Parts: sequence; structure tokens; C-alpha cells
Amino acid sequence: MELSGREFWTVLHGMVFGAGFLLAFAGGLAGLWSLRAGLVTVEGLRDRIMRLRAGLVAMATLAWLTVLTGNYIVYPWYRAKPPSGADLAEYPRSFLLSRPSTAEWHRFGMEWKEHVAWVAPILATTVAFIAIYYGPRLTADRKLRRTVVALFITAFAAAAVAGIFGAFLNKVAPIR
Amino acid sequence: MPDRSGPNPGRSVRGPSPEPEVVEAQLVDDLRRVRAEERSLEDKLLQIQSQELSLSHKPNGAGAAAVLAGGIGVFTIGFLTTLAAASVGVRNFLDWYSPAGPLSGKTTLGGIVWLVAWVSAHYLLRNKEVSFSRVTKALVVLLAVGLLLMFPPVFELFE
Repeated sequence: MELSGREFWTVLHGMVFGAGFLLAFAGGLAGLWSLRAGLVTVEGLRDRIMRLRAGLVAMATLAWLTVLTGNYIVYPWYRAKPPSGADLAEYPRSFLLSRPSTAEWHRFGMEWKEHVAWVAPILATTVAFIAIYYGPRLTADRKLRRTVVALFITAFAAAAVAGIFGAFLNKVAPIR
Repeated sequence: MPDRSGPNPGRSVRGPSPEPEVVEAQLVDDLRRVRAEERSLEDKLLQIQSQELSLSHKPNGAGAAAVLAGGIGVFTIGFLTTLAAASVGVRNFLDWYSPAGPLSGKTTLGGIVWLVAWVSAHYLLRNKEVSFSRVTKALVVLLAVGLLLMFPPVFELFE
């Protein structure tokens, strides 16, 4: 049971940071959605807001760790140019582009993933800031709360697209 | 004892039943009234809860600033993605960290624009009450255009 250094970073990027963000989404959404006066007591609100703030900050941190490790550690291995005569299996981007049957995985999958992933940390940070700044006041401002929920869902959708393509790409052309 | 003899004991006398459209309109009216009452009660409950939590009012400007800046950040990354696809010069300019290529410049510049927009908007709007409907409309446009511009079939049109 061994992992190479590259495999370790790939797992940390996708399976720990990225998957952590995606898995935490349901809890965060439930917390934000139920911030309504009729659904929580004052005591419940105090307790919920504290957990929600901590959870949203943790999610924003996970989203940043995911894109930063992806962009600056894993992605350079993915896009490295092979020297002439090298085994293309060691160079995922070149490997995918070398065959028409796999080229779209790079041209569509990776090209979309590498850009859309950045939407998640930006919007997750916005949501965490608003939860910290307004706290229980979010129950009183319906429009702000709904906008925050919409941003949170958009952040999740962006992360999901990146995560799904990341999983497929690592299946078709793994980083070893 | 009341006399319950007769062909239909206990049955009330009713007039002709109203048209379905009339019944539906009445039900819709009732539903609206109930929802309005529900909101009014929720507002009263909010006031009580706010007093219990000793909450002071915070203008929505800071929230609007964060939301708008988020939209601007996403739009900037999308815009730079398409611009880099369209121009070799821009692509080379955005190559700030060679192992990661132009993606490093697109995302770093996008992040800088996002933070500068956020800080500026925060200081401009933090003490103001703004129309959140307008903010939401601007956000939807920024997000939609930004996401579209980072979608490969769209930015490849400019290559």
C-alpha cells in the first residue's frame, strides 16, 4: 500500500480538500436554509449561527486549499511537456491530446475544470463573510439570505463540475 | 328531541354550487392572505428575537459589496479566459508562473480584482442601505457572463 509523492498530492487535492468541501455542502445548505424566524428559537439561533460560521469558514478554507494545491502543485505535473521519446503515460495532457478518442477530455474537461473551480472559493468566501458579518441578522433579511443561499449553491455546482471532471481525468490519464 | 324524520334528515339546504373558476379565485385570495399574515407574524417574531439577542441594525451595504465583488471576481476570471484564448500576447502576459502557464495569471489577476473590488465597495457601501434587487440583478448578469466566458465551447470561438 504505497502512494508516490504525486499520487499523495493528487489525493490530498481531490479526495481530502475537494471532497471535504462537497461533502460539507449539505450541512451548510441546511443551516442557511433554516435560518428563518419561524423555524428556530433564540437559543437555537445562537447555537446554529456559531456552528454555521465555523462550518462556512472551514468550507471556504477547503475550497482555497483545493484550488491552490490543484493550480500550483498538481496542474504543473498534468501539463508538463514530455521530452522527445518519453513515455506519454507520464505526461497526462500530452497523453490525452495524442489520441482523438481522448483529446476532448483535455479540450473540454480539463479546460472547463481548471477555470470553473475558482468560482467555488470566491463565492464560498463571500458566503462565509456574510454569515460572520450579519450572523443572526440573516434571519431578518430575506433577500440577503436568499442571495447567500444562491451563491452557496453556485459555489457547490462549480466545485462539483471540477470534482467530477477531476475524477474522470484521473481515471483516463492518472498523475503518477 | 328535534324531528329528524323526512327524506333527508340533517342535510343542510344549499344553493347552486359556484363555478370552479370562482372557487379557485377565492382559494388563491385566501392563500395570499394567509401568506401575508404568515410574513407579518414572522416579522413580529423577528423583532422579538432581535430584542432578545440584543441585535442592532446593520445596513445591507456590506453584504451587497461582498456579493457584487464575488460576481466581479467570477466575471474577471471568465473575461481573462476568453481574452487569453483570443490573443497570444495576453496569453503570454498571463503566464506568471511557467509550470502552471496562463492559468496562474488569470486566477491571480482575477483574485486581485475581486479583492480590490470588495474592499472598495465595502468602504463605499458599508453604512448604506441599498436596493438588494438591483444588486441581485447585477450579480446574476456578472455570474452568467463570467461562467459563460470560461466555458470551453464559448472561449474556443475566439481562438
